[in-house]
Amino acid sequence: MQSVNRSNQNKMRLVSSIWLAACILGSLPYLITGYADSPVSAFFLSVSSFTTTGASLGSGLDGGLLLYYTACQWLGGLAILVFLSSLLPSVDSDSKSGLDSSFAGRSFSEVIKSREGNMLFLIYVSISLIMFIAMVCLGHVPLEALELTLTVCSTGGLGGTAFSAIDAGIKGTGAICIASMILSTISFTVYARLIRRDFAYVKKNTELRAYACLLVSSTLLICAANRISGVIPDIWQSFRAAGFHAVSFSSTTGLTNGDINSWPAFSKAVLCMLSFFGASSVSTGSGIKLIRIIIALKAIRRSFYRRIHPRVVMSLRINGKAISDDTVDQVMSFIIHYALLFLAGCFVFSFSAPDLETAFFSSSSLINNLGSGFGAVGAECGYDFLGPFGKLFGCFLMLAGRLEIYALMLPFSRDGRK
Amino acid sequence: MVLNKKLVIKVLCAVMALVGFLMLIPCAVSLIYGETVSARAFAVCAVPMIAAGYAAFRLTKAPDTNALGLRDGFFIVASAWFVLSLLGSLPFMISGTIPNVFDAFFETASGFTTTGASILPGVEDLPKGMLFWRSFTHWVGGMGILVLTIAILPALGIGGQKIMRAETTGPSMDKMTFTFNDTARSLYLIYSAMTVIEVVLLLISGMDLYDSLVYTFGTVGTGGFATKNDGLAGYAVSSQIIIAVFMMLAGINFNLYYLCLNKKAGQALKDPELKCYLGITGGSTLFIMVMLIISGQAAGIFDSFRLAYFQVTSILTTTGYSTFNFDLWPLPAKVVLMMLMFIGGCASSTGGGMKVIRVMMAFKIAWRGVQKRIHPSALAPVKIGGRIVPQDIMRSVSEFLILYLATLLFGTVLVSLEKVSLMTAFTSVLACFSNIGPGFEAVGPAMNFGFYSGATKLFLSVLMIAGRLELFTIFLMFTPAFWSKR
Repeated sequence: MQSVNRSNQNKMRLVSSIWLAACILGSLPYLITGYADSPVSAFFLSVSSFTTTGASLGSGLDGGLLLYYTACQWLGGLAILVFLSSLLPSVDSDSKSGLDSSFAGRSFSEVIKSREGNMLFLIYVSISLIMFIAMVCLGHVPLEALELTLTVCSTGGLGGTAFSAIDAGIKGTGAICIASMILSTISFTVYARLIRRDFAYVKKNTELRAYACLLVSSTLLICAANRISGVIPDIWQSFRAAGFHAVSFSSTTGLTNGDINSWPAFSKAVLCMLSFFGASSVSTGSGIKLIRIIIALKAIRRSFYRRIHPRVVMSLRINGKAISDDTVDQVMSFIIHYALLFLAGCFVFSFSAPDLETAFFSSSSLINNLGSGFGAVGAECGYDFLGPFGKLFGCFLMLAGRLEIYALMLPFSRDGRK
Repeated sequence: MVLNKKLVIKVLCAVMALVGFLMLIPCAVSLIYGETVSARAFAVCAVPMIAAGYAAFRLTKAPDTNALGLRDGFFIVASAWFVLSLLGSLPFMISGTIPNVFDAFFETASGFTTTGASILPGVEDLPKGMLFWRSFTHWVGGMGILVLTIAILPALGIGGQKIMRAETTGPSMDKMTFTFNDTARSLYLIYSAMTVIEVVLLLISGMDLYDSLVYTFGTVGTGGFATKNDGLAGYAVSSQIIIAVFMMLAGINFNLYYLCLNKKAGQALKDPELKCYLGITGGSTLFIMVMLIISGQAAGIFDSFRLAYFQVTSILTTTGYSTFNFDLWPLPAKVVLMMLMFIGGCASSTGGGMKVIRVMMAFKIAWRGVQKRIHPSALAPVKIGGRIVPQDIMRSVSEFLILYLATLLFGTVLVSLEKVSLMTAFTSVLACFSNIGPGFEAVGPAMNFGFYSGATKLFLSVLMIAGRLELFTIFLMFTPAFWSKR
């Protein structure tokens, strides 16, 4: 048993140190070009790119730096897919085959060497390639197309550069972005199964279904709310805007187009909710992940049932398979941990934020690796107001959200320090 | 589903008659102040309720069995609270003080659940009898109306333990060894003693009898209805401090007082939840005090201590009184208050919220997740005060916490359909759900909930009752499993 513990611990230590090193080294270009005024700001930008957050410090990034920024995001997305899938809790722990379970308990190097590791990489590259080609076909300059591709496929965000500045007014850009964002938030295990022609699995995949329902219903609700409140009077336009932002927020990309800060509170609330749990597991999206919410809701439903039938023993089923109580406990504790970190963020940011809403959205946007938000952190505004300490805490939140908390918590653990 | 219908009806009748009797008290108050309209309204409600309740109680045949099923217990408690809030709102409507039915229901539900959220723009215009009734509902709701019913009418002879569990707050770590009727009665004894002491102290501090009674009801029940628009700002400093101390006392687990009465004070003082509760109170008071001094919003150290201590105890115990419009305070102080809104009082106190013990467990559960990730095969038990928390209690706590957060989120989305800012929607839901009363921004301490539509008021009222009964009792009524035959 000891070796398993060791390997787990080592894996996490490896993951967190590699991330930290990458973020520190990656901050150099911002310092050298003089874009960032202090090492802390540069570090913030670097963390924001590697964690696929896409948060900015206010002014937009220009040509070369933007390419570098988006490239870091793409690398971060790739790293997450490979690193984290070796750490993720396995949902179908009893299934012998299948990508999702094959990673559990394996070492990082094994994952890299394994067929599934390659598969993740290939899927990621092919989604990016398809999007890039589509963008070029639409008539985008290769540089623009590349930047957009890198940021969208990794669900990053443009970091202060306006979407309208980069889409060059070419029709169809939005649609392609929507498609790629959806593709990169769907669990990559689904693609792997598709390649293996396991259509039955895909058909009954709970997370995929939940994602589809969530996306469609929230798009319709936001569309209706915007139409009724009169922010966007044209119904077709309202639908497009709602769809774009619902996808952008649920995938934690955080691309925004137009002034969403003036949207009604309802639309904002729905978007904020989506950013917390819109993305699927084993994808480049961040946040709590849909599968955890599904498990938590099922656990709550079971607890209702248990109150009336105290002696009934029920196990939770996901994708038709029972999951262990230990997994359920892990999921519940993850969500609670996430909520506590989010609240801690609200508290820390309240020292520098102008109002409650901004403190709230700074915290939710950073922990979810979203990047943009509402209030003073809306759309193209940045996080420069946070100050050095706030920025460092912001980096902590971004890394915690990206690395699913645990890898980052290790240094604080007594066993981790041994 | 098979409910023990006769027993349910019998209990509900008893509750109705009891509310009728309780209404005689504000009726008398109205008469003393010569408010004939209010007095008549109370009498018109009270007399038929007592008569009908008594008659129906007598006429309903004795139930075949006094056995109380699990569903009966939940159903009785859930329906009693709705019936209670509806009946309690009748005097407001009949007298024309609050003519709108949603408004009146909101105000009464807010009273019985000890929330203290109001839809009234100016409370000073209300007749004294009505204000008295409004605050008296806090006192009644604080300990639980069914606990009161059973304490008064042991003749009902029903299994109180189940009802008690559905109505008292917080997870219980130990099984109560003493019998139920004793518990209910001694809890009410402690509660009443606390009330009397506070009234006397407030009288000494220079408040008149009427105000002392009203504020005492609001304090020991952790309610928060006041008689002035600006809350307690206009009262003597000594009165404010007495109220703050008693709010703090009302947020403590009442079983600890019971232990003290049984000469086990040492054991009570060692309670880990109590230590944590006092620690939170002290820490946040200190923090807000410093924030107030830095921002220069209070004159001097004592003044800022007084403001901070009062507001911290008021929010932490989910009372909701204010001596100052805390919506104007610096943002970090407001965020700390917001977090206190989540926490709430101790288990088995009159306060609402998540309860201190659950928040303590939340941290431990979160930490356990990290340990389990490092050592997947480790047992890593959650310990509170050196004792291992059983797995099933830990699970039900984490389910409670997540359901709480989910309801908050869902409620915020629903309330945001109104034309309000997102933070107003959020704090409205938080303030109602945690039974606090005032929130921030448009529902801040200087504002009220009157601008919401009828549907939202009804929704918030249901949230108040759900929050008071710790979610599951009310939410169960909306699950198909509860109504299915199996």
